Amino acid sequence: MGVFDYILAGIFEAFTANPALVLGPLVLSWPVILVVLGFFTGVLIGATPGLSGPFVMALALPILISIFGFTPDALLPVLGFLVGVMKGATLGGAVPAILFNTPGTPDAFMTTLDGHPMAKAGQGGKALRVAHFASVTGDTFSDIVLFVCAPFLAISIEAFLGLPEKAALMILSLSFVAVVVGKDTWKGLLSACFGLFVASIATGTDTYPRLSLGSDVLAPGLPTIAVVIGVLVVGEIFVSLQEMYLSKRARQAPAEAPTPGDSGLSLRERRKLLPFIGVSMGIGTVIGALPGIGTTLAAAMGYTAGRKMHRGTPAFGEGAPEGIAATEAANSAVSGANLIPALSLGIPGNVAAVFIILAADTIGGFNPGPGVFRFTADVVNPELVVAFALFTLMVVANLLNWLTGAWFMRLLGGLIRIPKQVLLPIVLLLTVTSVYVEGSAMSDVYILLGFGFLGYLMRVSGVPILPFVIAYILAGPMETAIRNAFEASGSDPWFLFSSPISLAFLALAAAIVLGAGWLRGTPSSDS
Amino acid sequence: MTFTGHLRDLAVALTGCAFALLALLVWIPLDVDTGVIDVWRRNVRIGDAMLPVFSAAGMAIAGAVIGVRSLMQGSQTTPGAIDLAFLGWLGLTLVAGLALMLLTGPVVAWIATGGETPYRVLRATAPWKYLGFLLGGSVMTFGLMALSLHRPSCRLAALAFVATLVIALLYDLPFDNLQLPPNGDI
Repeated sequence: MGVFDYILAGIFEAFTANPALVLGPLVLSWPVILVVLGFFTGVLIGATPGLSGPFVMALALPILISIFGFTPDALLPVLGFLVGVMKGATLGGAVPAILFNTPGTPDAFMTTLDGHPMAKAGQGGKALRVAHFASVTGDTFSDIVLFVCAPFLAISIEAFLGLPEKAALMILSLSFVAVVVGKDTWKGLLSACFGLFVASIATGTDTYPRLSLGSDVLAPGLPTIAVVIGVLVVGEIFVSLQEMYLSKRARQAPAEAPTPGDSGLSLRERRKLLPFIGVSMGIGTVIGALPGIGTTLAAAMGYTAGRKMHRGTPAFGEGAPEGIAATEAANSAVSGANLIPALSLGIPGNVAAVFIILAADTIGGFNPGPGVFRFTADVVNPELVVAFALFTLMVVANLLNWLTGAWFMRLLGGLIRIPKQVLLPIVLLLTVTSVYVEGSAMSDVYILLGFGFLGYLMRVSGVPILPFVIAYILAGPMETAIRNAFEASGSDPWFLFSSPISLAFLALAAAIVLGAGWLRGTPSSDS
Repeated sequence: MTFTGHLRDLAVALTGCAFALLALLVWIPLDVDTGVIDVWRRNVRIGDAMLPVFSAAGMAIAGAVIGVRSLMQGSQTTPGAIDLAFLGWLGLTLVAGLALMLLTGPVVAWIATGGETPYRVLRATAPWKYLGFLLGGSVMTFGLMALSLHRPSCRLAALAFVATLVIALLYDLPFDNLQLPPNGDI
C-alpha cells in the first residue's frame, strides 16, 4: 500500500467501518456520531465554570470502554469522542469568559480581559463570533501541522534512532515535562519520580509482581484509569470544594449576564483579525508541540504578542476584538499540536493526550509511537489506518466547529448558570460510578479516592500533577525500551552513552534540569 | 519569604526523602524478586528492581534539594490551605456515603426476606440494585453540597437525590452489562 492508499483506508475506516445506521448508500458510523457527541459535550463542559475537558474525558473513558468493549471496533469511537471533547472544551471556555467574566477553562482567563468589556458594551455576540473564528482557525492550522509533522517526525525517529536513542529520548522528554510544568523544577522532578515509582507497583517481568506487598488487590496492578482520574480529577474536585468551603463567594448572588447584543462579524473585520490570529496560532502550535507546556502559557504569549502588534482603539484590555482573537487562536492551536509528541513518540504532552494514550492502551490495537507511521507496502499496517482515521475524525470535528460552533456558543449563554457547589459533588459521584462500572470492584473506588487525596495534597503543596501522570503513563514503555536497549547492546553497562545522539539527549536532559534549577533559583511567587 | 511556604516545602522534602529511604532500604529489598541487574541463565539483564530503585533515588535527591533550599533560602510561595475541619467533614461524608452504598442493599434484603434470600441473589433486580447507590450516592452528594455551601437544606437534599437517581438510570437503563456500585463485587 502506498501513502495515498493508507489515507483513503483511514477515511474509509472512519466513515464506514463501524456503521451505526445504514440508509441505502448513506452510512452513519459510530466514530462520526461519537465525534459529534464529544464536540457538543466538550463545548458545554468547557462553557461551564468549574468543569473542563479532562473532567468529561475522565468520566467518559470508563463508560465508553464499558459500552464498546475491548475490541478493535471500540478504538475509533472512543478516540473520536475524546478528540471531540478536546476541541469543544477549548472553544466553550470562551463563553462564560466573555459573557460572565468567569473563564470556563484556565486558558480562557485572558479572553475575559477584552471579551467581557465587549459584552458589557452590548457586543457580547460579536465577541463570541470573534472567539469562535479565532479558535477554529487556530485549531485547523494546528491540525494541519499535526497531520504533516507527526508522520514525518515518526519516520525520522524510526530511521535514525536505535533502541538506546529512543530510551534516551524518553528520559529527555520526561525531564522536560518535569521541569517546565509548575513553578518549581525540583518539585516537578519529585512528582515525576513518584509517578515512575507508583507505575512500578505490581508490574515488571518477574513471576512475582514487584512491590505488591503480597496483596491480592495489588497483584494485578493498580487500575490505571482510577489512578490517573484520581490524581487529575478527584484531587481537583477536593481542592475546589475546599476553596468554596473556605470562601464566602458561595453566598454571593451570581452576576447578571449581559444580553449578547450585536453578533455580526463582517468579512472586513475578519480580515483585520487575521494577522493577530496568524501570529498567535504559530505561537500556540510551537508551544503545543513541546510536551508539558499548556494552553495557559500559549494564551498568555499570544495575548502579549497581539498587544505589541495592536495599534488604535479600543486598546487591549478595554474591549479590543484583536485581544480575544490573539488569545483564542493561541490556546486552540495548542490542542492539535499537543498530539504531535503523543502520536509520533508515544509521549503524552498534556492531559488530553494522556487520555488518548490511556484509551489506546486500555483498548489495545493501537500503540501511539514511531511504529504507528510505518508505511509498509506489502502488509497493511492497521495502526497507520487507525492514525489516518483519527486524523479524519479531527477534520470532521473541525468542520463541525466551523459550521455549528458559533451558533452553539450563543445558545449556551443561557444554560451555564449551575453553581459549582452543586455541580462538583455530582461530578464526583459520576466519577466514582464511571470508575466502578469499568472494573466492577469497590477497590477501584478506594484507589480512586486515595489518589484523589494524594492529588489534593500535591496541589496544595505546589507539587505539579502532570509530571506524575505523564511519568506514570510513560514508565512501562520507558522501562521496556531501556531493557531492550541493554539486551541489544550485549549487556553493555554504558549502553545509554554508546551513541552520540543518545549522549546528546541525556546531556540535554541534564542541562534542562540543572539549567532550569539554576535559572529559576527559588520558585517564583504564586502570581 | 513566607513561613507557611517554608514549612510546607520542608514537609514535602521530608515526606519525599522518608518515602524514598523506606522504599530503598525496606520495601524494594523485601518485595522485589530480582535486583537492579539480574543474571539469568548466564544472561546479564536488567532486573525488576531497576525502575523502583532509580525512581526512589530520584525522589530522595529531589526531596533533599527541596529541603536544603528551603532551609537556606526559605520559600517565596504561599501554599494552598490544608483545612483539617474541611478534610474531616469530607472524609466523614465520603465514608458515610460509601458505607451506606455497601450496606443498605444487604441490610434491607436481610430485613425484608428474614435472611432467607441473600442480597447477592437480588442485586441484579429492581428495586434492590438501586437501594445502596441511591441512598449512599444521595448522602454523599448532599453532604458535599451542604459542606461547600455551608447550609444544608431540603432543596439541596432533593437535588442530590434527583441527581443520584438520574446517574443511576443513566448507567443502568441503556446498558445491561453495567452494574451500579456496589453490585458488581458483592
